[in-house]
Amino acid sequence: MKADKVEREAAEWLAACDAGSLSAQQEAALQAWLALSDRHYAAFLRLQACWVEADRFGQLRVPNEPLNVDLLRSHAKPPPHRVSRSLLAIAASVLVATGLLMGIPPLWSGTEHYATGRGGYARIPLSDGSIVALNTDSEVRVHLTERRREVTLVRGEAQFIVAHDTMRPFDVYAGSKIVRAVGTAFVVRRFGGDDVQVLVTSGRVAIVAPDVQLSEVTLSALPESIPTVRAGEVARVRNGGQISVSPLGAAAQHATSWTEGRLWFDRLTLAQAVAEFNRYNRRQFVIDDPSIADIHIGGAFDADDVESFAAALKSFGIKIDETNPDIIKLSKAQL
Amino acid sequence: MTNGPERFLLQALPYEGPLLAYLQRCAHNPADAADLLQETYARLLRAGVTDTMVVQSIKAFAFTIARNVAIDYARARRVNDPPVIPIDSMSDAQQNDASSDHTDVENAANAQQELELLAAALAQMPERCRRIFTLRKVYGYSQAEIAAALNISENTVEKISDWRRDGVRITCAVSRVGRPSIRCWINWGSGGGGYR
Repeated sequence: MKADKVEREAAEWLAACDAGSLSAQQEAALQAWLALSDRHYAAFLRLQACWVEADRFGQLRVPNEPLNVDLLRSHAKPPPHRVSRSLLAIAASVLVATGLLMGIPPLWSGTEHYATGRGGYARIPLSDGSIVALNTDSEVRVHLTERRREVTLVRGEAQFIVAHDTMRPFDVYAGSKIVRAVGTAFVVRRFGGDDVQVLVTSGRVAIVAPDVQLSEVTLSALPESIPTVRAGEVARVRNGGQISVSPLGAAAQHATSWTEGRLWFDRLTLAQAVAEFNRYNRRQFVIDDPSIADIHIGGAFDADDVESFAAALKSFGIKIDETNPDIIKLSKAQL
Repeated sequence: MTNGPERFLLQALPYEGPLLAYLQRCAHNPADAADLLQETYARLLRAGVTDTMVVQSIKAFAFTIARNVAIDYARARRVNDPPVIPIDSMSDAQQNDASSDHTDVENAANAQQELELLAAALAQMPERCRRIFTLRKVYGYSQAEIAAALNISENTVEKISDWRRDGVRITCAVSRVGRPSIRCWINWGSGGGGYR
């Protein structure tokens, strides 16, 4: 078997996945290819891990600076054999001065890696006593040392119940921000890009950019400029880095219901509710009729119970079309 | 998921440098070494299917599997002769294992350096390829956003997926650029984004 051919095919599949969601047909073809040989699946997993790892390049980005398509070139260091030690030292000090060094979580070494697939859930006890709960289709890397506790939320959503340790802050890297806690409970969700939500259920956390010298940030003496989020509040970081904090209100008691496999919809639009349901299931709801996208719905459902949700919608006068077994089309019932 | 069958494979990835170095000493050419490495990963995956298995040291475990793969390879090549597996290589590997803590600490310190090396390797990609990679991984752009940002006409958008595929492979190659054993693998041909 030729390793190179397998790797090339794996790279093609990975590129297809990276381009967006696969069609049902492509998805089936990928599953078939993966099932054909352990070599295929192994090659795919390896490439995927590297590709995800390349997200670290996101840390090179300087907030509020214009787009620079040649950014990598400016960070490239000439080949080692042509660089003297002093030049290396200068390069390192420049990076420290711009704060980049602080914002880059460690690569592989000593890092534990956890991920869930669609519909998955995992509860991971860490060696420091903290607990990480992973929601559907989520991925974290955990790096615990004697002086720091660092978790990178690569994608998806995770709840952190942090064991109290003032000597060892607990930092969650999510997009362009770091969420710092000492001992508290909070949920971080990445919506893609820099769009991040931080929801605090107990204690408080600080949200800082990677270019802040973290060693100087303690939760007891925070500069005014550092936003904090308290229990019962939710912060949303939008692209561009602006942070808005608002109270959770009545939604607070259901904010972590996903840890029990339940979804609570409190006056969400149908579009929002459907998007939420689709996160957990292979069978996807599709709204085929824009006029019903904005109707408001509420209720509690088991996250994996597509049938009950469909039945509930039907009882509210929404037409369900299951011609395609992978897709549930929703439209307005004809009177 | 770390409890899934993938766990051993994912945990073994940090040791790819030393594993490949060992397999290169067992194999007759680089292509065979790459083949042996892929087989090692496939067997790590299979080992993970047995969820009762407890592994004390993932590094030692990965090396044991690599050695078995190398023995099978030697057997297949010399049907009538006893397999020849470089014993010195294996003792290297074990020595490596004994000092694994040290190596890991060193690796952590080198993370920043590694990123610079990666950037250096990627900086040598063809310009457009590099820019696409930059937009995707540094700025998190979607395919459509990349096309818009680079002012690429619809006709060439399909090319993007080619470039990104190169990017995928490039990433895999250069993510290990910091490890001397495989530095020789990075060699940009005149043809563009490929690696050998």
